[in-house]
Formats: sequence, C-alpha cells, structure tokens
Amino acid sequence: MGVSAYINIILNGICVGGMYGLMSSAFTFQVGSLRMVNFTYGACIMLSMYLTFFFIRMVNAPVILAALGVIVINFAIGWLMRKTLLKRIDEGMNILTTMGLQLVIMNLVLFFFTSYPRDLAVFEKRIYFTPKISVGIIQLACFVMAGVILVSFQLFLNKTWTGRAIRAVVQNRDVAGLMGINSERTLDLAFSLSFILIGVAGMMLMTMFTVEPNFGDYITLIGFVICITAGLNNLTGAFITGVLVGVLSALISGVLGTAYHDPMLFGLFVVVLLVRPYGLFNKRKNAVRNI
Amino acid sequence: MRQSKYKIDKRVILYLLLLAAALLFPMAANRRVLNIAIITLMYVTLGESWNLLSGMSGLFSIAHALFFGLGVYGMTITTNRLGMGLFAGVVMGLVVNTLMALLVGVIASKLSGLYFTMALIGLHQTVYSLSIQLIDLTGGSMGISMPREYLFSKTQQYYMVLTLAVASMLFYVFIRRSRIGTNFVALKENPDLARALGSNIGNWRILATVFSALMASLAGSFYALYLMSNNTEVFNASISLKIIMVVIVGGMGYVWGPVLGSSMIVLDELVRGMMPSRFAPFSVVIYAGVLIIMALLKPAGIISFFQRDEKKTPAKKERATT
Repeated sequence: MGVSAYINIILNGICVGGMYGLMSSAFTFQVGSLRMVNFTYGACIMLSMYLTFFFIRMVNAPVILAALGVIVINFAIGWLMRKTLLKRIDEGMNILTTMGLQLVIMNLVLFFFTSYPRDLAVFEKRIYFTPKISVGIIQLACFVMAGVILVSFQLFLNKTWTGRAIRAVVQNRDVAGLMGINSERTLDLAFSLSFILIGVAGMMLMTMFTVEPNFGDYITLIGFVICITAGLNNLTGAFITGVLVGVLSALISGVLGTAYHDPMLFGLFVVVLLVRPYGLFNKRKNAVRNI
Repeated sequence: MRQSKYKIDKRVILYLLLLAAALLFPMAANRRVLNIAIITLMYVTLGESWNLLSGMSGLFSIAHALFFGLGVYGMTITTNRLGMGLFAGVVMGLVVNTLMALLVGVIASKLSGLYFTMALIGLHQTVYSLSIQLIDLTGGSMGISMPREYLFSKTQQYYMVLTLAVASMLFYVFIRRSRIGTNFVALKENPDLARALGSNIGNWRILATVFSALMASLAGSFYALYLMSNNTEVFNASISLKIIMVVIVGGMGYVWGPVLGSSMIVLDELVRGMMPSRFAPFSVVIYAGVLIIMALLKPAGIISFFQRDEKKTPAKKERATT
C-alpha cells in the first residue's frame, strides 16, 4: 500500500470518528453529568439507523421529514425512559433495567426487520484532492455537522438559560431548586435532548454502515472505549477521542485486518482502564470523588 | 427468644425435606423433566454467583456469561485439545476465571461500580470475538466436542449439579455470615463509610469478583459436561439476562432468591418447546420485560412475600430514603 492509501484510510477514519464522538458525547453527558446510567444507547442508535432506513427506503419519505421523524421518536424514547426506567437515581437498578430495555429493543428489531443486514446504498460523490486521495462528500458533511452540533450543544449548555439550569441542577439539586428551577423537569429535558444527539448520530452512521440488530452491541462498546479514554463528563474530550478511535480502528482493520479489530481495540480499552481510569482529558481530582 | 429457636428448628426440617425431595427426584422423573431440572439447578448456581457479586457486594455484572463461558471453554479445551482429565479441566476453568476476575476486579477497585460494569462488558466482547476467531484453539463458531468417555447419564449429571447448587448456596450463606460478607455488604451499602472505617474496599471488591467468577466457572465446567461440546452461544447476552432475571425475580441478596427465581427458568423451558422458532426473539423480550417490571415494581423480589412483616418494614423504609 502506498502513502495515499494510508491517507485515505485516515481520512475515512476521521469522518467515522466524528460520528463516534457525537454518539459517545451523548453517553458521556447522560452518565457523567446527569448520573443516569443508560446502557441502551447502542440499541437506540441501532434503532434510529433502522428508522432512517425504514423512513427513507420503505416509506419513501423525503430526507428532511425522515430526519424529523427520527429525532421526534428519539426524543420521545428519551422522555419515556426518564419517566419510567430512570425515575429513581439508583445506579444498580438503572444498569439492570436499561440492559433489559436494550435487549427488548434489539430483539424487537430482530423480529420486525429480521437479521438481514440493511443498507441505504447511497451513491456518494467523492472529492478528489489528488487522483488517489479522496473523501466522500456525505462523510465530510456528516463530520462537519457532527462538529457543529456538538459545538452548538456546548454553547446551549453554557449560554442559554435552560442550559445553565441543567448545569445548575447537575451541580447541586437542592440549591437549584431554591433558585426556582424545576429540577425534575430540567433533568427530563436534558436527558431527552441528549437522545436527539443519539438520533442524529444514528442517522449519520446509517449513511456509512450497513446495519444489523447486533450493531448496537458494537456501538455500545465503541462508546465505552471513547468515554473511558476521554474521561466521563467531558464532551470536547469525547469528540477528540472519538476521532482518534475512528482513525485507530480504521487503521487496524485496514492494515492488519478486521480479525484484529475487536481484540486490539478492547485490549486498549482495558489498558486505559488500568493505567488512567479517570481518562485522558480529566483531572484525577474529579474522578476520585465517586468511589 | 424461645420462639425464635423453635422457628429455626422448623426451618431445618423444611430444608431437610426439600433436600430429600431433591435427592429422590430422579426416581420419579422422566428424561425431559430431568433435563429441565438440571438446567434449573445450573441457573441456581449461576444465580448464587451473581447474587454474591451484585446482591451482596453491589457490583453490577451484566455480562456474567463471560465467567460462565470461560468455564465451559476451559473444560472443553483442556479435555479435547490438551488431552487431560476432567479434574484438570475444572482447574483450568478456575484458573482462567481467577485471572479474568482479577483483571476486572483491579479495574473495579480503582473507581466506581459503573467502571466495573463497563470493563466487564469490554472484556466480554473481547473474549467473545477471540472465541470466534481463534479457531485452532476454540473451534470457532462450530465449537469442539468433549471426549466421549466423559458422557454421564442424566441421573449422574443431576446429582452433580445438585451438589453444585447446594454447595454454592452453602458457600453464599457461609460468606454472608462471615466477616468477609459483612465487608461485602458494607461496600454495597456505603463504600465511603466503609473506607472511612478502615475497610480496604478495593481488595474486598477484587475478592468478591474472584469468588463469584469461581462459582460461575464451576457451573460452566458442568455445562460443558452437559452439552458435551462448546459453542460461542455460551457467551450470549441472553444467558447473562437469564442469570440476572433469576436473582431479580427471586430476591436480590437472599440465599433463597435464586431458588425461587429459577421457577422462571422452568417456565421458559416448558414454554420454549411449544413455541415456533420464528418467535424466538420474543422469549428474550419477555425475560427483559419481566426483569424491568420486577426491578421497577418489586425490587425485593418474590421472597418479600414470604417474609414476616416486621422484617419487611425497615427494609422498605431504608430503600425509600436511599
């Protein structure tokens, strides 16, 4: 393989990594900030991928409507989950119930869509930098959009009243209540908003990957790797790590072969957990607080 | 005081009667019923193992099939590939599981229980993908079979797994009543306080993981004898789900929880014979649904129906405050 092949692999990895960063920032926000352990997010991404496929290929809806549908459905799922499963902040039970819900979603999808892998089969135009180095337009657009969405989410959290309310509730519920914030409602909203990130990530991933019901497991794991490596509750770090992991996984499967992909990536995950469990981008002080 | 003594006597008689019934069970049962009983007792063992880790020590393992599967693979690989005996197979499973549990436990000892769950899922996926890809060693998705001389009759298998189940229950009770169990409960209820009182929570977490992994490994070694082969299905998430469901339905943190909860396994085995295979995904949906409903509405499990009122009320109050 020449140099251009490597550059192509890396470019592809960066674009995919942007999606990884987007979806794992949703997870890191839910678990790190809101303290709601949500192990369904892989299944939810898989579901929104299937929904995108369903809307665009089976119903033949226009792309805008399909996107709107996926986002609304995801928002509703988030709201319902918060209202039923995650009503009590009890980490252990949340882990169990969300794991159960993940299996429910996965097996319902398996029943309705069967295990046959689905693909949007988008015909992608490519931008050629040189005759050999190129990048797909949709991929690039998705990467840029992922960045824009994350930046705007961060801005929303930092600048708007609602965002500041969310952060206040996360930091200290009682005092936030005293300041006139309805903390339950704010948490509902925050959790549902993070599901929009999941929906958008799912739609974007659908343009690049074929989806099958087990894809959710893979996504869950990639999400863990990214969140742990970046450190929980660090959205920017999650995005950067997402790009890194995307490049790394593209290089592993491109150069060594796909057989090495899972063991190497998760071996790395374990090494990170052993050496720097509080994450690359977090300070030790923040992590030790919760034993 | 006298009353409580009398009650314990009554209980011992009940236990002995149950044990006698379990011992005499193979005489009355046909092959199909015996098969169901074997699987049920295996899940009781696995349930106790999960109960030790999650019900007692508060570390939520949602990929417990990892330890179980390693037990199965340790047994089959040792007897088939290395040509050693049954005992060596069991020991191999135990050794591999100890190493894996140490790895998971070391991770869990550094940070919160959430990291434990994540690490376990990551390792589970790694081991699962390795079990598919290392075809020379594990047989890939085809699996490898056990040597034929280790084929036991169903009655023998029943007694083996009954021994395992009773032993695991006794082990659970022993741990719960010893100082180790007190420490385990302490790090579930309030790790900060436990640490403040001088309990080395990291080491206790590692120990809990190792104990639980060893119990699951024994059940896995037995499953290899029952199945007479291995396949990658043993790492399946539905096995983890069944293990969790057995405990949650029965009652988390009680010895008799998994025993009561294993009634769900009996139901499953009975129903599965009648269902068309197209609806196979639905069995998992139903399990997960039962798990969610029980965890939300009755976290104390079936066992809370059998408890006396004065025992029930303080537990309830405690839960409401946390």
